[in-house]
Amino acid sequence: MLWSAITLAAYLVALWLYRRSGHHLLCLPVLTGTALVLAALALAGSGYPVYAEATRVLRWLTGPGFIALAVPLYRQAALLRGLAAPLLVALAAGCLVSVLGTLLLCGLMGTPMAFALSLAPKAATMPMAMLAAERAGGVPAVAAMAVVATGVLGTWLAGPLLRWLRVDEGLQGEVVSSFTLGLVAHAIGVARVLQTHPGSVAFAALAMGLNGIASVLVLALLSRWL
Amino acid sequence: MLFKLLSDGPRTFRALLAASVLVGLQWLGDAVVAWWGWPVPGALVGLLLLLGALFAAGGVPQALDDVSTPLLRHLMRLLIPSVAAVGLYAGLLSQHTAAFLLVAVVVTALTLVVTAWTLQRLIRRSSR
Repeated sequence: MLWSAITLAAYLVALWLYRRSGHHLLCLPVLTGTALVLAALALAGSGYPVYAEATRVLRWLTGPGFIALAVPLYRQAALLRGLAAPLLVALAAGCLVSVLGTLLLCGLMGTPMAFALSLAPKAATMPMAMLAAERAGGVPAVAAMAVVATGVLGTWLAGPLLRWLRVDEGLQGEVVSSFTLGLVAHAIGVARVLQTHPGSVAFAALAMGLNGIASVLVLALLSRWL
Repeated sequence: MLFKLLSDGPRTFRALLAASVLVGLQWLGDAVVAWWGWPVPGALVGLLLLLGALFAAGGVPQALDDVSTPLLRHLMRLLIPSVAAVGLYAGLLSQHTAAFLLVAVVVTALTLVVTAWTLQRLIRRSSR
């Protein structure tokens, strides 16, 4: 109970910080909130297992929360009408490059499989990536770090790379850049699209939801072979 | 039947019912996965079942919207306890910092380029 209350307090402080910082990328509530919780744990001299046991209800609730993602996804699915084939092919291409590229690069660098499997779902949104990593035999907390790094880097790299690809400013270009940002940089990318192209933000949200599902599926199937 | 109850019953009752639908889907998903030994997580099966039900019903019942909106807004708070486990893996992360950073930069850039390029080509072709 106490640790759940401390988590809530840390989250509220983190939200306040996030607003004060003008929604700065590196002040994401989940990062600062986690840092505050870790600081509290260090101060109290308690280990993570004690904390994990005390917050079991919170952790269990992420399951129903994950399932609730079906509601926004259902609303965005209407966008698939007319553009279904291009969007789904781009989704498959992006998801496979991200997951397989990560596993390949990690393989070349000789990192342990559990670490590679934690990084592989990094383009997915945090709840989905953590679930995918856990199920495939990776470490959810490491996946969370990779997700944040990918979101921040993806949002930074998107500008120059999309210009280099000559994605134009017209309506089609807007759909391409919004969908790409949502697929690669999940919620951080969606937040950026909300600032730059608010009219097509639903495409970013759709890409985020679809890539989350696709990453969980691809990783689940791959982990059977690896 | 369930969808009718979700849109017609008294307000608190509907909210409770919608919350139990989400919890029930989690259990159902876990049960399905355990029964057939699928490699996917139970929550994903629950999500896909809910998505299918929403398509079949052709709309989102108000009560489900009322319950899922605050849940989704604060999903990140629910994740904090799992993310805090990173403290246990500080050693693993510092040991593989180079791989972590390289993957984050190279694969992210590659994914961006492949996704945008594919989508741009396909949209141009289909609109011609």
